[in-house]
This record gives sequence, structure tokens and C-alpha cells, in this order.
Amino acid sequence: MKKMKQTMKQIISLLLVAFLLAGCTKVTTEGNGTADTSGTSDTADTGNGNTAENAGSSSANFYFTAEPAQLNSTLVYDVPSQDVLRACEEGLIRLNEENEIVEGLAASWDVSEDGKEYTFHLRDANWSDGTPVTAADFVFAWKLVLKPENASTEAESLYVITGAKEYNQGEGTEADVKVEAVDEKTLKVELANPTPYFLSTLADPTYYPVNQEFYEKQESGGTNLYGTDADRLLYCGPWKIDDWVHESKVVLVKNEEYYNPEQAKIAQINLLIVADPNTAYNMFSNGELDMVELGTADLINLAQSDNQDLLTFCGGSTTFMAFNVQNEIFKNVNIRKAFSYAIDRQAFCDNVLKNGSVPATTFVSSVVDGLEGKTFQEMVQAEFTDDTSVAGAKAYLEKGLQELGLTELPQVTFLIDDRESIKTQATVYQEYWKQNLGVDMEVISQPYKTKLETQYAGRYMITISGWECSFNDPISILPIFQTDNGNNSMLYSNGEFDNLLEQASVETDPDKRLQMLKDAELVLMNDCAVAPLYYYYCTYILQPRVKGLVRNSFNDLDFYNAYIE
Amino acid sequence: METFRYIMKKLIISLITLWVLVTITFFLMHMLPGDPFLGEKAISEATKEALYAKYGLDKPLVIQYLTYLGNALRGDFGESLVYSGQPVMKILMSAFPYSFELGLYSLLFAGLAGIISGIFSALHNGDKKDAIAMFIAAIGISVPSFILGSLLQYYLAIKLSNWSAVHFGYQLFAVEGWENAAQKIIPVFVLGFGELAVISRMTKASFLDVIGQDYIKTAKACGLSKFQIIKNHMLRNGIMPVITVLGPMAASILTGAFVVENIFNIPGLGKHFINSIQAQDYTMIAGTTILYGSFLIAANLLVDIAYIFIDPGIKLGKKNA
Amino acid sequence: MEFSKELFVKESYEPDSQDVEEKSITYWQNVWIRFKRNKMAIGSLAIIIFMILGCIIIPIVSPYTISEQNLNAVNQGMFKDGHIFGTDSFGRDLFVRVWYGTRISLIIAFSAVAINLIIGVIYGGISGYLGGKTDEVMMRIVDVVISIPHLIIVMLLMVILKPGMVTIILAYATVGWTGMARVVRGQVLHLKELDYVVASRLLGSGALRIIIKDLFPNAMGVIMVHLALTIPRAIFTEAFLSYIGLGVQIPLASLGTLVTGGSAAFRLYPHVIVIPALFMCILMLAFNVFSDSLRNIIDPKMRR
Repeated sequence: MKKMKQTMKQIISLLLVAFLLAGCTKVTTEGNGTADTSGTSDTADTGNGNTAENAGSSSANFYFTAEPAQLNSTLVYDVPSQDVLRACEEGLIRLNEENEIVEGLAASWDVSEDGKEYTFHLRDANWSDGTPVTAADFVFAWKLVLKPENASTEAESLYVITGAKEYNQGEGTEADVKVEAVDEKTLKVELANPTPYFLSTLADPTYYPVNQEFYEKQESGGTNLYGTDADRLLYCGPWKIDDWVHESKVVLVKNEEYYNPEQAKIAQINLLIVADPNTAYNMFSNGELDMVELGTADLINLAQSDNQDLLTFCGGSTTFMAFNVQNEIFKNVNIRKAFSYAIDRQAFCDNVLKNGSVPATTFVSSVVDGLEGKTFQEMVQAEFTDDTSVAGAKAYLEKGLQELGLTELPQVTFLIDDRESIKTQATVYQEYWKQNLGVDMEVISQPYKTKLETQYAGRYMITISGWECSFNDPISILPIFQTDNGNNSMLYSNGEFDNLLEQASVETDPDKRLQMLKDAELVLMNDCAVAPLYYYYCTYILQPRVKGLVRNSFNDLDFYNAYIE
Repeated sequence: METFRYIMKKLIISLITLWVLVTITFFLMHMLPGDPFLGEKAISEATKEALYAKYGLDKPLVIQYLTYLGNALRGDFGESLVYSGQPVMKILMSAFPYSFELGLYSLLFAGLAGIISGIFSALHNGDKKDAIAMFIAAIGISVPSFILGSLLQYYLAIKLSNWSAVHFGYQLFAVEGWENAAQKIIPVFVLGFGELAVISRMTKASFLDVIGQDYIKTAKACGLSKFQIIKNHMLRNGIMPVITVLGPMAASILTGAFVVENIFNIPGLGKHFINSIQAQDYTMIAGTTILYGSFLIAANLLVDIAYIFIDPGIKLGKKNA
Repeated sequence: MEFSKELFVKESYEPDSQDVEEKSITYWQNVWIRFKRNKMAIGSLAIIIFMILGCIIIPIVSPYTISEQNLNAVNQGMFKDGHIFGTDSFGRDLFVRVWYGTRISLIIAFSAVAINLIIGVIYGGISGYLGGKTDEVMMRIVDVVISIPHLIIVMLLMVILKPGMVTIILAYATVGWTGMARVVRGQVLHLKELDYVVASRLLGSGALRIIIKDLFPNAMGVIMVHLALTIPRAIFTEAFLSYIGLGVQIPLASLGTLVTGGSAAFRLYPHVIVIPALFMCILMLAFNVFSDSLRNIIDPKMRR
């Protein structure tokens, strides 16, 4: 008994000591914390709106919802990584705020008559370690993207280069890829077809240069660690990474070796990782963030009630309903039309999304330019004459059933994944189908990766999908409806559509080419191979002190001309 | 000596448990349809094959399993399939201190406050004071942490802190982060509050049991003071069932902090438990499971050891006829 | 002498107060009498019954359905246009959704409790009573079960079965019983060494008799409390799964999915979150108070 008493005493006193110690650390760290913030006034991590807005402080705080996967430009696929790379690396060209092509590391370029041969003349620029950026760095990087063992998921975007597809798929050799360094500052590229959009894709991080010598030094125990930490990367952009605290933040500082050191006007950019959108909003309210995206209608309402100025930009993606056109029911075009037109897109965008997204009746997003000052979307829309009214949907359904020889629709399933945004949409669509078609859907919700697997295996009837134009050309997304395209989970196959795309790819006259693509999309729309729902717009708010920040579909988040007032 | 042998035996059994756990998890996660490289954009067969080859996923599952086990025994848990080039151990170890600190403070807060309020309730069983204490505890288990967290973040870290910043020039609480007390207090409270209720109720129940025992009556009859009775006689017996839940609680508080870490943006382990599974990042799933399993098993081991010291009535591994 | 029937008075049979079988009858009768006297117990039971009836009846009689939307009247306040609790972000009637959500949450909770009780008590009882090697093996199995990542099981079940309520219940069932098993085992381990159990054993009572007669009633208090904790745990598991997107199917609702609106919604239209949260709180409180009172009534030690 006595022994027990002592043990108990010990345990309790231990607990007490531990608690006191915990209390002590709190007090001391708190003291350090305040000392820190007063010492370095320009880091602006005080969380206090007043200090963050100090004049002359040249630091800004932005955020990502997830940690950059890795900053190896030959592998990069995720948005955060692309945004970081856009700030601290540079390609041959850049896109300005109007999405126009301007010089990047290439000071000038020549294009051959047939539009198949590009010669770039590089400017004098250095890597952050002082070594010059050469044409060989581009050749090395591009071939690395294509190297089969590197297993880059973005390799396909380089297939426009002669020999690239063959090399990547193991049918050709590296030497056959037609990209070469003529001399230290001259890069020559040969394309398989005249590709009018080729230049604009060069702003994509996949096309950034990589210094071979440095890259090879990052080899460690069978894996290459290039781009996995701040010191495992060379920089050729206006900023460089000073500190990368994984899962927490990426700190960018001016790259003094950049060819125009004056370009970076914000001396320090803190890119924090904040997963919860509500937390991000609260941080913005407290002045801890300079920009926040409003992903839900609730947050948009909240920002409005807080009298914030809402800004929007077209994200470039189209959200659409994909039909499995090989399915017994959805092989019928009228059934597809019924399900497509039964949705009141305008009411959905206005009342549920609220983020400025625009209802879509044609596939390619309105960010893509067309002819004669019109957008490509307007070109297609002008010739698309289907009755897309909600009122007509029921008639399509009846017609479709008749054609299928059915008296009533069998059970229809609707495949979705577990993300909140998708659930929100599905809730509304499901109800529209019920109200306007009298159809009770069975919703099958699966975890995201499982849903993709199910979708690509063709085990679905209807699902929600989205596709983004990554460059200013319809060909950026149209091929997903080509027969045998890896992304064609709709299993759509139409000879006319395939032909038009084929012809467009070899057409040298850009105007004629666009007309062909327009015709191709019309085939798609008249077939109702897809039910476009809306063109995604992103709504965000910005602290008034931040000026010149570019946010648009192809330059997602671009600090290039940004400055703090 | 007997105690030492007992602990050694437990330790060996724990290792076997861990191995079983790894095995089950390994095969379970590979049963999930889909793979880590799936995205909205399909990747070509050739690239997929290359990726599989790169991470050794092209080999038969049993071979993968044996390879993994062999590497794990040498302390190599592979690299993440999503964050390529980042070793799983490095990711987990950088997140661990945050979660550990958060979990430790929460458990201390929940444990101390819970035991005290539980004893308080038991002593005042049935009257108003008990009702109030139990009501507070009930709120603890009735409000989900994502609501409590969001509320406190808004009212304390924004409203109250802005007010205090204006009036005293000092921000009381921060919205997010994990560096100083202003940032730590709210998350610790939110995470601990739910567990506090559990501990408080367990304590109350077991103390009521103890109060009814004869020896307490005897002690009372002998004229011992209330405090002495609690300290000398009740704590030891009353705390037994509480300790039973404390072990798993320690493990779950460490790993189940996802919601709190998410709301207060603490770069802890929580998100890895959720994200790795959703992303089907096999090596990360296995790594987090091993970490979680080890922690749980260690916590249970501690509970078992605590049992020996607190209740000598338990015979060490001897079968009772 | 004639014996008329009137001469015989039927003597009522006084049972021997030492008779064990009879005593157990009076024990449960006793519980009932004590229960009726306990205001807290009656009150909490009334709330629980009211909630159960409400969640059965209201979704049936309501003029609105849980899925009917009106995108022109979203996030309406309380008592607007016949919507008692207003509408949610899709313009759906919140009143019927909250009651329906309570129904789903209660089903999940009761199923969880049933599973916990049955598996946990049996498993923990056996493990604790037998002790030794059996106990060791059984507890290691619990360790493994507890530490298997919960989410993998939920996701696997979602793929194998149809996602929804059943999946959530099954997912909870696969790991939920372990807590109860541990608590019961700990309690039995402790109780079986006590003098009265040892005495009972020496008097020749069988294992089953000891478990049922001696151990179970004495462990009842801890079991009841743990059960009361299981209900919120189960509802919270559901709420957590909703938080990460694995909750009940759309357009169904559970209290969990209703309260996951986030702080933005809370600041703009608090009733949308507060009402379901209140329902949750009241329900929890009722279950807690009920189990607490029941514990005081049932526990043999409390009857002194």
C-alpha cells in the first residue's frame, strides 16, 4: 500500500512537471516569437494586418492548398509546382497578362516557311550558380522529358517534335528527336506538323531548361533528387527558392543572377501551404495572406458580406457531363440530349456556384481565340442550332426511348467521386433530372482514384468530368474525343470528327485549320457526345496593396510584374 | 526480474503484432482499385509501364511485399509515390514533432482536467455540481471538432484578437500555425475537449464503483479526511479503467488530429493519414500505418506496465486455475 | 363433518428470500421501480423517444421531401415560406432534412451500439476471464484491428458494397467493438481477482455462471458508460467521414453531413449549422444522462 502511494505520487508529480514544462516552453517561445517579429519587420509574418501593410515592406504571402509535388520541370504536373516554377525558372518565351507571346530566355526566333522548323536565339542569361544558360540545357531537358525511364506524365505534350513520340514510346532513339543545339546560344527544333500553337506551349514548365551537369550531381542511390529541395535546383527565373519547409511553406527571394534583376519587385514571396479554404479566408481577413481563392459559394457570400472586391478569371477548363456512348441506353443521341438539356445551367451557375462560371453549351472554353476577333467558342456557338432549352428535354427523352424500342427508361446510374465540389453539382443535376425528365438516378459515389479507374474502364453511364485548355488552341482539348485516344473514356468514335482533326493537323493555313476544328466540334455537339456544363471561372480576393498580379487561364498565378504598394 | 521478463515478452509480441499489421495493410491497400498515378488526364501505356518499373510496382505483389519488408527491416521505407524523391521517413519525421507536441499537450489537458472533473462529479454524484460538470463534458462529446475549431478560430483568433490588438496592442490568439502559445492554445483545447469528456466520464464511473467499496467506508469510519481518502485509497483503484482508454487515446489523438491540424494549418501527421490513402500513395500508407501501429502498440505496452504498478492484483501472465 | 370449500383459504406462497432464482426477478423489478422514481432517467428517455418518433413521423408527414430543391430560395432564414428551419444552400427544406438526418444518425448509432455490445462484451469477457495465453492472443488481435487504417477499410467497403449507410455501419463495426472489448476485459481482469468471485469459484460455480452472475452485473456500470460514449463516437465517425467526403449518399442527409458546412456558412446563416448541431447535442446529452441514470440504477454497488 505504501509503495503504491509513492508510485501514484510520482506519477502525479510527473504529470504536473510535464504540464508545467509545457507551460514554460509556451512562455519562452512566445517571448522569442515577439522578439523575432519586431526584429525583422519585412517578413510580415506577424499576422497583424497593421504591420503587414507597412510601407516599404516588400514581401508578400500567397498560398497553395497542397505541397508542390516536386520541382523537377521534366516531371512537373501539379498546379502548385507549376506556379513555383513559373516564378523561379523561365522558358524560351513568356506569356504576358494578355496571353501574348513575349521573349523569355530566347531573345528572338525564326520560323521556316512550312511552319515546321523553329530556330531560337538565346539571350545571355545565367543560372543562379553563375553558369550560363545554353541551348544544350534545353535539349537536355526536353530529351529528359521524353526519356522513357524518366516516366514523365507530361511527355505527350512534346510529341509535336519530330521523333519525340517514337523515342518516348520506345520505338525510336534519343538521337532521332529533332531538337539540337546548333551552338551555345542557338536552338533548332523540327516539328512533325506545322503547329501554330507551338510557340505558346513553350511557356509551359515542361519546356524549361535543365542544367545537365547539375542534374547529374543530384543522382543518389538510384534515384535522382533534382527539384526535391531548395538546394537541389538551379534557377534561371526572377526568383529563387530560399527555403522550402516541406508541407509548410516555400520562400522565394530575388534571384540576383537573373538577366533582369530589377524585374522581381517583391523581394520575398512566402508561399504557404494552407489546405482548409476557410482557414485561408480567415488568414486573409487577418492580413496574413495577400490573396485567397473563394472555392465555395459560402465563401463568396462571406466575402461579399465583408465588402471585399471580388475578382474573377476564366480558369480555361470546361466542366462537362461525360456519357458512355457504348452503353445500351446512352448510345442513343436523343437520350443524351435529354439528359444534357434537362439541366438549367444558368440557374445552377447563378445560384449554386456563384463564382462567375459561365453556362456552357459548347465544349471548348471561351478562353480560346477564334477568327476575326471572336473567340472559338463564339464561332462554334454561332453555327450550333440545336434546341437546348430545358422545356425540350422531355421530348428528346421520349423520342430516344422510341428509337430504342423501350417504354420506360431502365435504372440509370450516375458515377461521381467524393470531392465536395462534385457532390454539390451532382446534387443539383440529380434533382433536375428528376424534375424535368422524371428520372430517379442511382448515384454511385466512389473515392476519386477509384472513380477514375471505373470511368476509364467504361463501367459507367454518366459521370462528371473536366478538362482544361492548357494553351490557346482548341486542339488542347478536342482530341479527347478521338477514336483510341487514351483520354477518351466516353468511348466516342466518329469518323468525320477524326478526319477533321487529322486534316487540321497537317493544314498550313491557320484560318482554314481553325475552321476545320470548328467543324469538328460541331460534329461533336450535334452528336451530343458530351454535355458541356460550364466554363470554370475562379473567384478570388486580393489585398489592395498588391498590384500587377496576373491571374489568367494560362499563367495561373504569375508574380512577374507584381509589386507591393 | 519477473517484471523485466514480462516486458520483454510483451515487446516481442508487439513486434509480431506490428508485422501482422503491416502485412494486412499492405495487401489491403493493393486491393483498392486504381493506382497512385491515375489522374483526370490519362497517361500512356508506355509511361505507365515506366512508372511501374521505376517504383517496382511491376513485380508480383508477393515479391513487392517481401522487398518492402526487407527494406523496412533495414529502416528504408521507400520514397513517396506522390512526392517523388521524398523518402517516406523524412516526410513522417518532419511532421511527427508537430503532432507529438499537439497530442501530448492535448492529452495532458484532457487527462488532468478530465480526471479532476470526473472525481468532482463522482463526489457530488446526483447533485447540481455533478450535473453542471457532466453537462460541460457532454458538450465536449456533442460538438464535432470541426465546428468547435471553426468557431473558436473565428471568435477567439479573429474577433477577440483583433479587439485585443486594438485595445492592448497584443494579439491574444493566432489564426493558424504552430510556433508560439498564441497559436497553440486553441488547437490543444479543441483536440483535448472531446477526449476530456471521455476521460471525465470514465473517471466518474469508476470512482463511483470505488466509493461503494467497503474499504472506503472503513476509511471514512476511521475518520480519514476526504482528501486523504481520495489520495490514498480511491485514486489507485478508480484510475484503472481510465488508463485502459488512455493508451489507444494517446495513439488516436496523435493521428486523429486531422481536423484540428487542417483547420489550424499545423503541418502534422494527420493529413498524411488521410491524403496518402486517398492518393493511394502505397509507400506512404505503409509508412504511416507502421508509425501509427508502433505508437499504438507502445501506448498499450505502457498501459500494461502501468497496470502492474498500479494494480498488483493482476498476475503476470499466470493462468488462473 | 363436511368440508366445504369455504373452509379452505388459499395461502399465498412466500418465496424463500434466500432463493437465488427469485431474487433475480426482484432485481429487475427493482430496477424498474427505481427507474420510475428517477426523474433524470425518465426525462432523458422521454427525449430519446420523442426524437425517435419525430424522425420516423416528420419526414413522412412533411409537405417537403429531403431532396426537393428551389434554387431561387437558397439559404432562407427560419420560418420563411413554410420552411420552419429555413432552407439550405440548394433551397431544400431544412426542417425535414434535420429530422431525416437524425433518423440516419440514430440508425447508425443504434447499429453501432448493438455491434459494440455483442461483440465487445463477449470478446472482452472471454479474453479477460480466461486470461493467460488466450488473453494475450485475443488482445494482440485487437491491437492489429485497431491499428489498420480505418479509411482503407471504409474505401474498400465503398467499392465492394454500395456506398452509404450500411457501409458506414460496417466500417464502424470492423473496428468499433475493440474499445468495448478492451474496457470489458480490463474490468473482468480486475473483478475476477476480487474475493467474492474467488469465493464463488471455490463454491463450484461454473465459468458461465461466474461471468453472468458475478462479473457482468458488476461490470455493468463501466459497460453502460462506454455504451453511452459509443453513440457519440459512432455519430462522430459518420460526421468525420462526411467531413472528408465519405458520408452518406446524396441527396440523403445525416446530422454529420448537415453540420459540416464550415465556418463560412456558420457566419452567414448560423441556423443552417446551429440547428443540426443542437439536435446532435440534445441527442448526445439525452443518451449520456440516460446511461448515467441507468448505471446508478442497475449497478449492484449503487443499491446499497
